[in-house]
Amino acid sequence: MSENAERGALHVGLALVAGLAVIGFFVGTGSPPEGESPLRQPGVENLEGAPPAKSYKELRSAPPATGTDWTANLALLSSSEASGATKEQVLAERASRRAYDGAPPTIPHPVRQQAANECMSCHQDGLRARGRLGTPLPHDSYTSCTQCHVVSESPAPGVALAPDATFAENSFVGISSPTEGPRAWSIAPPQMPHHTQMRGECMSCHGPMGNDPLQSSHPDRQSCEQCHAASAETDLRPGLETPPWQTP
Amino acid sequence: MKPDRRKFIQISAMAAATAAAGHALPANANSEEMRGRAGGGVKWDKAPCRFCGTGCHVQVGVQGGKVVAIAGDEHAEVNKGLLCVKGYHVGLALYGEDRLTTPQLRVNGKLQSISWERAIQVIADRVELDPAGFGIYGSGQWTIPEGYICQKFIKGALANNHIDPNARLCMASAVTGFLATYGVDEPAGCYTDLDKADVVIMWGNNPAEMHPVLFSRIVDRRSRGEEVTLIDIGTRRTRTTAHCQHYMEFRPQTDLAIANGIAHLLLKNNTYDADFVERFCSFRKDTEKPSLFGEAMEFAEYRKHLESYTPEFVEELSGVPAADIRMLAELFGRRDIKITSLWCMGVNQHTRGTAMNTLIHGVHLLSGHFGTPGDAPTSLTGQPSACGTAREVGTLAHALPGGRIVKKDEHRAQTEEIWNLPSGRMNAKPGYHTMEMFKRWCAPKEEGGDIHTIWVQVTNPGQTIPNSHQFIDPGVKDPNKFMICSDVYPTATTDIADLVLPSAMWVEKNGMFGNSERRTQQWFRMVKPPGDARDDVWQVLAVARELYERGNGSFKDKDGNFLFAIQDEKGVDVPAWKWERFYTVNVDKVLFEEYRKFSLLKHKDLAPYEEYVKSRGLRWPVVKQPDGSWRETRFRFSEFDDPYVTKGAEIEFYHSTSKDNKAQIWWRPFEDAPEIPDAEYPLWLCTGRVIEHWHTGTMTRRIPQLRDAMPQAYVEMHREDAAELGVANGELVRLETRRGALEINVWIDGRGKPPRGSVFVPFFDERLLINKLTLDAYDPISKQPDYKKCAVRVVRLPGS
Repeated sequence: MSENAERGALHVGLALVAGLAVIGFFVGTGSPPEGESPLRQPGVENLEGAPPAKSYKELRSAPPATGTDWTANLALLSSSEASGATKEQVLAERASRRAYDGAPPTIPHPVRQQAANECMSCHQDGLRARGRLGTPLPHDSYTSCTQCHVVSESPAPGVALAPDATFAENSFVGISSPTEGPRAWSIAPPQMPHHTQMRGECMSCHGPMGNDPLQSSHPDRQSCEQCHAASAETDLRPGLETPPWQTP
Repeated sequence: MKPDRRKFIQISAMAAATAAAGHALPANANSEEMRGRAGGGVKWDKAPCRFCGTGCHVQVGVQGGKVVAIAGDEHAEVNKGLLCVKGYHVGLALYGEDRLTTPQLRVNGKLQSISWERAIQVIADRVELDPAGFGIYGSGQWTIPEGYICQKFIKGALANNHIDPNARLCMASAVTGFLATYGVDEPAGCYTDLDKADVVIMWGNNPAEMHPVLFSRIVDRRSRGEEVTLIDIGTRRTRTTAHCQHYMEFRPQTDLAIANGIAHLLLKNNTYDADFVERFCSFRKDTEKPSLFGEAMEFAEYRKHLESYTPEFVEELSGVPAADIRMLAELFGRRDIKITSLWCMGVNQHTRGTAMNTLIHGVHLLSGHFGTPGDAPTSLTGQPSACGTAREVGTLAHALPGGRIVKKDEHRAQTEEIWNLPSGRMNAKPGYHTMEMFKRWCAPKEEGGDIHTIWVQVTNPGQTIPNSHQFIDPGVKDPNKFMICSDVYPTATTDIADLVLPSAMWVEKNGMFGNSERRTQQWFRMVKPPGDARDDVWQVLAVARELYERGNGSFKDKDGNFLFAIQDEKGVDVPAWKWERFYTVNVDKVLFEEYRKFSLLKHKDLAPYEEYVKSRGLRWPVVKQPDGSWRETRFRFSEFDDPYVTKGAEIEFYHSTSKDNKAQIWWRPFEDAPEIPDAEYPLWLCTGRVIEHWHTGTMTRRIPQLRDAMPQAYVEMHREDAAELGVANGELVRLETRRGALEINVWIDGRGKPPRGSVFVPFFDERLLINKLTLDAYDPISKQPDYKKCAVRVVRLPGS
C-alpha cells in the first residue's frame, strides 16, 4: 500500500518536472515578440564599440560587420561573392552532375588524364575564381580522385562515331536532392535531409565556399550535428522487413 | 487505469530528451511530407558490386520497386564505405531502355519473340540432337549457384564436360600458377596485406583503373602519414604510374627476365631467405613438353640455370636499367620490410602466363616474403566471381567443384556420390577449353567441328574472343551450328545468336559471388526483372526438367528421381522449374548447401548459407568453432591464422605437389613472344580496359555518366611514332595486323602513355572491335590467350 502511494507521488512529481521542462522549453524557444531579438539585452547597445549580436535569421541577410577599432574573423567567413542564383537553380545544377543524390558528381571541366592528386590544388580548401566555384572536399582526403569522379565530355580527341543504333536511353531515376530539412516548428533547427556518407564536411556545401543559397547563416558554429540531427529515414540503415525472396 | 510505471518513465524521459535536443516528435511536422522527400522511404539492403573482382559491398537503395541510389557499405571490410565510379553507378546498369525482355528465336535471319515454353523446348531439342556436342560457355560473372547448376548440367547430366567460362581468358594462368606452386588454387593472403606492406610491386598491372578501391586502400595510407613505396613494372605509363615512386618500363614478354634477374641477385648476393627455402620450398622445372607439375630439381641446378640472368643481361633483354633490377633485388633481400606483389591481366594474358605466375610466387618464396601480413604474392582477379564460380565451383572444362578434376577417379566418384549419380556416369575426359570449343563450333562436323551448340551465359564472346572472326563469326561458322545466348542487353553475341534469352541481373535475383581474397558473398533479390526476363538458374533448371520429362535418363539420379530436384526447408519437393514457383523457395540456398559439401577436400570450407546472409562475406576456409560460431581465415598456410596448419609448423603448404608440405620454386626461362614486331608490322599492340567501362561495355556504355566520360575507344600512340607517321592527335588511322584491320582515332599523351614502338587500344567499344586483330596464341598450360602483345602497323589514311 505504502509502496503504491509512494509510486503515485513519484508519478505526480515526475509529471510536474517533465511538464515544466516541456512548457519552459517551448516558451523559451518560441517565436520572439515582433522586432525583438531574444539575444539582445535592452539598454546594452554598442558596448565598447562592439556591434549588437544578431539572430541566425538576421545573420543570413546581414553578416557581421567590421567595426572601427576591431576586426572580426567571422566577417571573413561570410560569402564575398553572391552568385544571385536561387536555391532551385543551384540544386538543379547540382543534380545535373549526379545520377542520384549522394552519387559522386561528374567533373565539369577537363582534367589531366594521369594526374595524381592535382585536384587538391583547388579542391582542398575550395576556390572561387572568375565566377566559378571549386568546392572544398566534403569527405576525407582520398587521393585517387578520378576513381570516383569522371569528366562529362569525351577526353579523347577526334571525330565521334555515330552512337550505337541499338543503344537506348537509360530510364534510371535516382532519389533527388532534398530542398530543405524538416523543422519541428518555424525557427527550429532543420533536421539533416540527406545522409552524410562521403559528405561529412558540412562546410563544403554549407560553408562560405559553398553556393550561397546553400550557405549556413552561422558558419562559425563548428558542431553541426549538435543541432541538426541525422534522420533514420536517410541514414542508410538496412530495412527490418521480410527478405524479398520470401514473398513470391 | 494507472499507467504502467516503466512506460511512464519512458515517456517522460522521451519528452525531456526531445525538449533538450530540440528535434523529433514534432506535433506539427507532417510525416507524410517527410516521407515524400528525397531519400525518404528508401529501403537499403546489402549486395556485392556487380563489376570487378575486388568485391566491394554496396548498399542498394530501393524505392517503389526500383533501385534509386547506391552507397558504399561502411561496414564492409573490403571497401570501408568507398566505391569507384562504376560501383557508384552500378544501379543504373539495370535501366537501359533496351533491356531484353522476351525470348527471341532467329527465323530467316531475324530475331522473333517467342514464349519461354517454346524457348525451353528449342534448347531441349538442341541437346537431344546430340548431347555430346552441346556446350556451355559461361562466366566469372555467373553467381555461384548459376555456375554450379551449369556444372551439374554438363558434367553430371550430359557428361561431356564441355563447359568453360570466360575466366579462361582472364585468370586461367593465375590458377595454373597457384596449382604449380602450392598444389591448390587461390591467394594465401588477403587485402589486409595492402594495409601492411612497405613496398607494393605492380607487375604489368594498373589497379588505379582496374581495382580502384584496392589501389586507394594503398595510396590513401599516405594521407594518414604512412610510408609505402609503389613500384610499377609495366609496358606503358598509366594512372597507376602517376602514384608510384618507381616506374620500370620493360619490353613486352620480358617480365620473365626481370623476375629471373631478381632471383639471380638474391642467390648471388646470398640475400635469399635460406632458412625459409630450406624448410618450406622445393625446386621445379618444366618437363620437355610443358606440364602443370613439371619435374623436381635440385637447388644447385636452379642456381646454375639462373647464372646467366645478370642485371646487365636482363637490361639487354628487357630495357630495364640494371640499377633498377639491383634495387628490386635489394628490396627482396631485406628481411625488415614487407613486400606485396600485385598482378592481373598483364601476367595472366600471356603465352608464358603460367611461367610468369610461378616466377612471381618464386621470388616471394625465395626471399621469404610470404605468409605474414604485408608479405604476399597476390593475384588480383578481374571478375566478381571468377574465384567463387569459375575456380571454386570448377566450371572449367577439366575441373569439378572444390578443387577436383575430372581425370581423377576418386574425384569423379566423390562427385557422383554427392549428386547421387550411378557410379561411372561421369566422364574422365576433359571437355574443350574456350578456344577449342569455339574452334569446333565454327568448323563443320566433318572437319572436327563436333560442338553443334553453345549456350552462352553472362558474357559476350562476340566481342572478346581473340582473332574473333576466325572463331565466332557467323560468316565462318557452319549453318547447322546453333548459339543460345542468355543476356540482359543486345550485344555483339546476341547479334549472332540463334536463340536469345532475357536474363535477370544482379539485385533482380538472389546471388552469391566469390571475390579475389577468397571471400564468399551473398545478396537477395531486391527488385523484379523487366518484362519476361528470368534468372539464369531458372533457365537451366527449366531445360533440365523438360529433358527429364521427355524421359531423358541422364537427368535422373541413380534412384530415378529428377537430378535437379529442389526441396524446401521441410524436405518437400518444390516444382521450382515453374517460374511462378521459382521464388517460393530460396533456390540459391538449396544449391549452395549442396555445393558446400564439395568444399572440404581442399580445405576451402564454406559456411552454411545463413552465415553469409548475416555477414559482408566470409573468407574460406570458414571453420566451425567449438562455440558454434564460424571463423574465416585471412592468411592461408600460416600457423598464426590457418587452422589447418599443424601446430609448430609455422608455414605449411598442406596441398604440396611434392607431398612434403613444401611449395615449388620454378625455373622458367624467358622465351620470345609468338609474334614480335618486324619490318612489316613494326609496333606492339596491347589491349586492355579503362576505369569507366566494364569489359565489353554492354552495361557501362548504357550508363550516361560512364558513357559520357569515355564514349569511344581510341589508340594510344607515342608522340614520336605519330610524328614519324605524320598523324595528328585525334586523327583517324587504320590499325592492321595479320588477322584484321580497324579504323580508330589516335590519342597522344592520353589516358595511358605507351613507349615508342607500341600502341594500346581498349576493348570496351563494340563499334570498334579490336579483337578482330588480336592474336589467338595461348599459354600451353593454362590455355589462356595473350591479348597484350602482337605485331601491328599503323596506316595513315589517304586524304587525312
